[in-house]
Amino acid sequence: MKRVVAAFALLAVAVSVAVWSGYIFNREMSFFETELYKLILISENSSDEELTEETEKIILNWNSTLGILRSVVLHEGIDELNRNISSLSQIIKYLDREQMKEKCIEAINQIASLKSCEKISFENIL
Amino acid sequence: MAVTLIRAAILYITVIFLIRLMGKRQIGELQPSELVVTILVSEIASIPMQDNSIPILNSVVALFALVAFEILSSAISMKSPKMRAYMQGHPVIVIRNGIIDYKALKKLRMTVSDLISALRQKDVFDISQISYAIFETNGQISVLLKPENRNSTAADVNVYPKDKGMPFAVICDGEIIEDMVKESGYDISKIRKFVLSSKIPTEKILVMSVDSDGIAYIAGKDENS
Repeated sequence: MKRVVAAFALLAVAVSVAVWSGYIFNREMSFFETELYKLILISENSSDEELTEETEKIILNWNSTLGILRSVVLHEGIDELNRNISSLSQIIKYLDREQMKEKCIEAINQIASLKSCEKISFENIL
Repeated sequence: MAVTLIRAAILYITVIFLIRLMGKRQIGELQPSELVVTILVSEIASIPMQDNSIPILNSVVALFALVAFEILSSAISMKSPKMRAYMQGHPVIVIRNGIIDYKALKKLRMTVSDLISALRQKDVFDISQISYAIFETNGQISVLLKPENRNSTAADVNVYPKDKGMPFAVICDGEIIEDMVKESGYDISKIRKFVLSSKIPTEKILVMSVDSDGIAYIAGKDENS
C-alpha cells in the first residue's frame, strides 16, 4: 500500500513538474514575443532614448529568465535565442534600427519554433 | 566538469531511490515489465549525465513516471489475474511425465538444446528423470523430478527431528546486530550471557548465531578461537 501511495506521489510530482515547466515556458515565451513585437514598433516610431530604454529592459528581463528557461527546455534552442537577444545590446549602441528590427524578427521566429516544438501535438509526440 | 559531477550525484540519488522503491528483486527474477523498466531507468539516467545541455528535469520526470507506472501496474496485477497474465505472461509446461512438449517449446521460441542447457543448470542431466518442467514467467525453469529420482527426506524414513528454527547471526564483526537479536526471540542481556559463556569478548567475535537451543555457531576473529 505504501508503495502504491509513493507511486501516486511520484506520478503527481512528474505531472506537476511537466505542467509547471510547460506553463513557465509558454508564459515567458509569450511575454518575450510581445515585448519583441513592441520593440519593433518602437524602433519604427519612437525616439532613440525610448528605444534604448526598452531594449535594455528586454535584455534585463531575458537575463533574469534565462536560468529558469534553461532548466525546462533543451539548451540548444534557448542558447540560439539568447545569442539573438543578447546581440540587441550591441546593436543599440549604434542605433541601427534596421538591424534591430531584423534581429527582433529572427528572435520572434525562434520563439515560434521553440513554442511549436514544446506544443502537445500529434507530430511532436510521434 | 563540476556541473557534470553534481548532475551525476543527483541522478545517482534519484535512481537509487527509485530502484529501492521498485522493490527487492534480483536481476534473474525480474518479470518482463520490471526488466524493461530497469533498462529504461539506466538509459534515461545516463543521457543527461553525458549531455549537460539536456535539462535534468526532463529525465527526472520521465524516471518518476516510469517507476510510478511500473509500481501501479504491478499493484493492479496483484488484484487482477487478467492484468497479471497480460503483464507477466503464463508459466509454460515444457515437459510432462518425461515427454518434451515440442509445441510449447516452439511457442517459447526455444530449441531442445536451450531446454537441455536450462535443465543442466538445475543439475538435471537426464530428461527421463523429470516428471514436470515449467518455464516460469521470469525465464527460470522449475523442475519436478519423478518420485524415484527425488532426494529422500527424513519424513520418507519416518524420522522427525526436532525443529530448532532458523539460526540468527546476532553478532557480526564484533558488533551486536539488534534487529537480529529481536528476530531471534532473545534479549540483549541473554546474548551477552552467551558471549560470556563463550569466553570470547564481543569485539573479538567474527560471527555468532543463535537458535532456540542457544549458541548455534560461533567463530572468533583470531585463527585459534
